[in-house]
Amino acid sequence: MYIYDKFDNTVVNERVADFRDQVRRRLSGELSEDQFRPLRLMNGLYLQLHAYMLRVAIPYGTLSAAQMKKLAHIARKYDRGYGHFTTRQNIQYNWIKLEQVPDLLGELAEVQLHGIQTSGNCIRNVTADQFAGVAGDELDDPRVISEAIRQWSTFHPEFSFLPRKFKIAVTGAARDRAAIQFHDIGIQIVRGDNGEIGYAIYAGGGMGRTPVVAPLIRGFLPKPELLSYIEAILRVYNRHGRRDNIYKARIKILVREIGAEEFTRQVEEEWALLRNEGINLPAAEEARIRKFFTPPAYEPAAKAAGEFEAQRKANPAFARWVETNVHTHKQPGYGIVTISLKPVGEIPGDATADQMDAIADLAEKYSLAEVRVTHVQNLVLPNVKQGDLFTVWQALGKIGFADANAGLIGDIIACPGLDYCALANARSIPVAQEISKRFESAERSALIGPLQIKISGCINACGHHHAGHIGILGVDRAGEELYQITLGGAGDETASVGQLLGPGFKADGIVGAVEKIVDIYLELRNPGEEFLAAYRRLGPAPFKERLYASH
Amino acid sequence: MAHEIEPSEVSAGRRAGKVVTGGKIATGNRLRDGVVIYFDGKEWVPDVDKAKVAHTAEDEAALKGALDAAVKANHLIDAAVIDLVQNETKPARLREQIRAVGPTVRLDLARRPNW
Repeated sequence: MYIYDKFDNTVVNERVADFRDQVRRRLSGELSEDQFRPLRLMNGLYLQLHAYMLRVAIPYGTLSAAQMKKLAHIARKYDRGYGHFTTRQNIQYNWIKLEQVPDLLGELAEVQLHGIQTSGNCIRNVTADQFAGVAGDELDDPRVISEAIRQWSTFHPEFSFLPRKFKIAVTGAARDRAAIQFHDIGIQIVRGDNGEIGYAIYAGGGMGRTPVVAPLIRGFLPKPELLSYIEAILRVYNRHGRRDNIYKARIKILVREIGAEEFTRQVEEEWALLRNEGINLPAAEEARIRKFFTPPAYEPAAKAAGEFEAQRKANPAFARWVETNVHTHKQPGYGIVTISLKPVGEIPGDATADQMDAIADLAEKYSLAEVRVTHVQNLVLPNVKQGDLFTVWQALGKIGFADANAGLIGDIIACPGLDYCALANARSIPVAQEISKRFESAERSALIGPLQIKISGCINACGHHHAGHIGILGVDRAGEELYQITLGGAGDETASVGQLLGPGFKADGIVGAVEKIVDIYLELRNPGEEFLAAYRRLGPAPFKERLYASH
Repeated sequence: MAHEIEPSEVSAGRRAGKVVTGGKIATGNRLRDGVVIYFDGKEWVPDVDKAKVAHTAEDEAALKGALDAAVKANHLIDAAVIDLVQNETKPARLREQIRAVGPTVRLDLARRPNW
């Protein structure tokens, strides 16, 4: 993991001191709310329905066990004993008191965490594949360049007041687990014609009220030139982005309005001026950062392989969990464990302080002291020996996080919705809970196979409904919650925007509608055909006709 | 003479036509800790049942005056005068009901208004 140097530490500590003074001046009335609001937002402090909400940045979703313990401590000391892991790989606390925030940020800074770049029209906290560095299918570790982007973007003076927020995601594998095509810039590590490592660059993707799958604007960018190229993209956006209209201010609108070709031409033109200006990451700095991500000393493979197989045979529930929640590690004899934060009927992404502590302990004992946060609102233990998987599974069972549902119908993304969020129009969490209960049978969800349901409580789409195989959008229709269904969205390398199926359903009808869609799929699928593939083959017609036949 | 607040004054798109307003109350979040509070006629309290209900334009103006003063005194942020359903201290909008009670998915943390 990357460890802060003195510059990083100074930057964060000075920010805490600044904010302490700003809070003091706000409480004394020296600063008005209008003056103070942008200052608190620059530190991730929002006002939601019930209290202040603090969003803590978790750069590229990577946490140490010590950081996770601190997050648990913060939940216990400053909140109501829990936190919410988000689709941005961050954590949010829901019950924060302004007068305590300076001390809270001081405690976070002790473990090199903060709320910077989690709000405002800046380059936001960079996100990445949660399996970075351990995935069997990756070309290079995306955390190296993600960390470089973090350093380059933090307090970048030219890009601190962009037309709108700006999100960058990175994947090192062809299999996209970071939804890069729904980001302002998506970076995929690729191999060029002559075998060298470089980047494919996507730009102008996004969700919100105007969902757009980002076009590929450069198929291959040489590795050393990444920062100058993304700086060129930001410059073109900063110059031409629509500051006059908040709904048209994201880069996706600019790219769409002038066309990907013209946008690319302008970027390349800008890049020609920039690429030799010393913006690129020097090789020595790249090497310095890379050292922090040197693979650990893995033990030789499979001492306990026999025992592992025996445990699988003896415990069908364990075998099912291995099937769904353990992914292939690049090191034989190890597994990547996805901890589902989606127990049946519970709140997606929520974890109590005790659960966070227990996960930190497991990370220390069994995963080389590392935890990852996924954009699907789960956690990951990236380095678990096969021989330890059974013990880890049992320990997760004790804290209620051993559900074998990663990637299945119960693994639902839900934004906080109207239960917490000041922007929401409808509740999201109760819908997720009811769907999860309706499909609580592990056998049934295994039969259904991979199916991603994503729920947002407003058009801003924090719940990624556009990218859901089944997407659900809550709206306010004359004071009543109504839920619209989209089908066929995908956030992977085959990214697509879900299509609206028809009129919305009331709260008491949405779960039945989802079940009906699943039943239609089960009836019409070819053998072994997953939901998304079946939908892409069948189109919306059979779903629409039968869902609304008696509506 | 004071006039009754007409149903048509219930904000558009919020059960308009379905809910006759029972009156209005003043609310906001407390600056120092963000807690949801209501004006009880003298001070700001977390209990929606204790909120002073305005049934007349004069009463509503008084609520707005209290609200403005609390904002000016740096006690209150995100302040608003909101609609109630008839004969109750229950806010008309679901959003405001949830603010008064707490997240509907964490009833263990909920306030328990008398409605």
